Amino acid sequence: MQRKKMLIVGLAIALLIGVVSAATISYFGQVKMTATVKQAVLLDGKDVTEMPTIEETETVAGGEFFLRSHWLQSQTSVPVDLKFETYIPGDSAGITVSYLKSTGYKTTVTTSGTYPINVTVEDIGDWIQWTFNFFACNTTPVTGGGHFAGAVIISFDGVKPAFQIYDNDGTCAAFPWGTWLYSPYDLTGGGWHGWHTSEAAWNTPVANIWWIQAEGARDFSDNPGGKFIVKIHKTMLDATFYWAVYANQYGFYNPNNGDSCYPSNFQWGSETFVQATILEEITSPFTLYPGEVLPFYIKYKFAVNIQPGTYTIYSTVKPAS
Amino acid sequence: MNRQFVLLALGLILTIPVFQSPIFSEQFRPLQGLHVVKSLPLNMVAGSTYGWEVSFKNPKSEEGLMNVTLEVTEKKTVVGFGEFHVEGTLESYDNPPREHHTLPLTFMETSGGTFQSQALISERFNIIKLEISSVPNLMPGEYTFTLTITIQYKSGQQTQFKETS
Repeated sequence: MQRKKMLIVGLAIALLIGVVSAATISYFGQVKMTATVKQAVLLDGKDVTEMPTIEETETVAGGEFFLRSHWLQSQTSVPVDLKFETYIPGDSAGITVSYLKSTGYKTTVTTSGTYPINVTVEDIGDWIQWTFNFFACNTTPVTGGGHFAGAVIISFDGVKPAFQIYDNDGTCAAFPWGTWLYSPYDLTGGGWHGWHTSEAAWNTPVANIWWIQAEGARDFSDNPGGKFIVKIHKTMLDATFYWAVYANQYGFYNPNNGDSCYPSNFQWGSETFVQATILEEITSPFTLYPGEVLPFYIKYKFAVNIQPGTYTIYSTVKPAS
Repeated sequence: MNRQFVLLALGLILTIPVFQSPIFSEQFRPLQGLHVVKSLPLNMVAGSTYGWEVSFKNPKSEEGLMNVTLEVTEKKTVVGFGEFHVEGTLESYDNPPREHHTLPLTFMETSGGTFQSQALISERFNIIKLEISSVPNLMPGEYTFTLTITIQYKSGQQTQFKETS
């Protein structure tokens, strides 16, 4: 009788286990893979793990400004709202930081004078380029033995010249004719109305200056297309600056020597200029669209009365929300 | 004679739970029909949306409650709440296909990077289609996506599938 009870209890336990087991997992499987997630927006081609901030250190006496170029690239398929943030350790009074982008500046002008030419000024990315087209207005040179001369004159305030880039047409005997030279303006240093282009010490071949490029031979025989190209790196200009051009053609026409310039009232010694705004402020927040590459510039401006010294400024690009 | 019959019956009854245990199930009853139809790419970009499709068979071809869990983890960082967004649909049909059903799957984020959704399934063949996106400022890194599918039947029997990408 006792054995029979034990059997019944045993059966009941077995049934209970069976019922409970009916709720256990019957099938199981697993596959493993890892996906690498890249950052949606790159700053200068780097993500946050490689370069979290832009660090700029400048030693200033006061009154200087610096333009530095950077770029953002969207890798994602959705628009991304971003904003710039600036951090200046210590006293930030007298320091202005602004974020700028290209205006796509481009203009073509015709110079005034005996033999006008066309000059196109345009933003070509990191550079502003002046293209002199000597035969745009005069297409029938009477002789193949002619020569070209030209200069780009820059001002930062629209009144006082800062420097000129010119093709040496015998102005400075220290350099071969046709050498592209850079010469700064300095009214306090004497010279001719502040220009020192005849003095060797005041001229530097542009081949030795990283932020200037100039090409175009002086002689028609080496430059039958009649083109000069002068480029200045944007970071050495300003968001708004002023320019003028001077050109000369010799030996092509009758009379055989003709100057031209732009603006029309430009004269050496009493220079006038054209305003060019090549950069405009980026209003935060701003949207970076899928696949967009946005070159941008940070302008660091130091007040004239700032304490002279070395300043470090940090900039970051962050999601707007 | 009666005792032998009882012992035999007892043995048969005990055999069922033993072979239904996860260990034996894993070894002897692999996930039939479970496979990735469309894989997540090996390289992704934060902010973008990527599709992940998994197909499986309803083992009992009867109505069951399906629980879908997607877990997103990263080796070095903790996945925060709201950093990912998941949308999904369930496509179901029988063989031969009589009717093709499409059901939206609503995923709720129960904790950072863990999403859950529930739906009733009854057809034999099922495809879960997921659209996974992240915030544009997601920390770059190596992320693991783990998809777990659990089906609970009225009888109480439960079937679990697990996919990790």
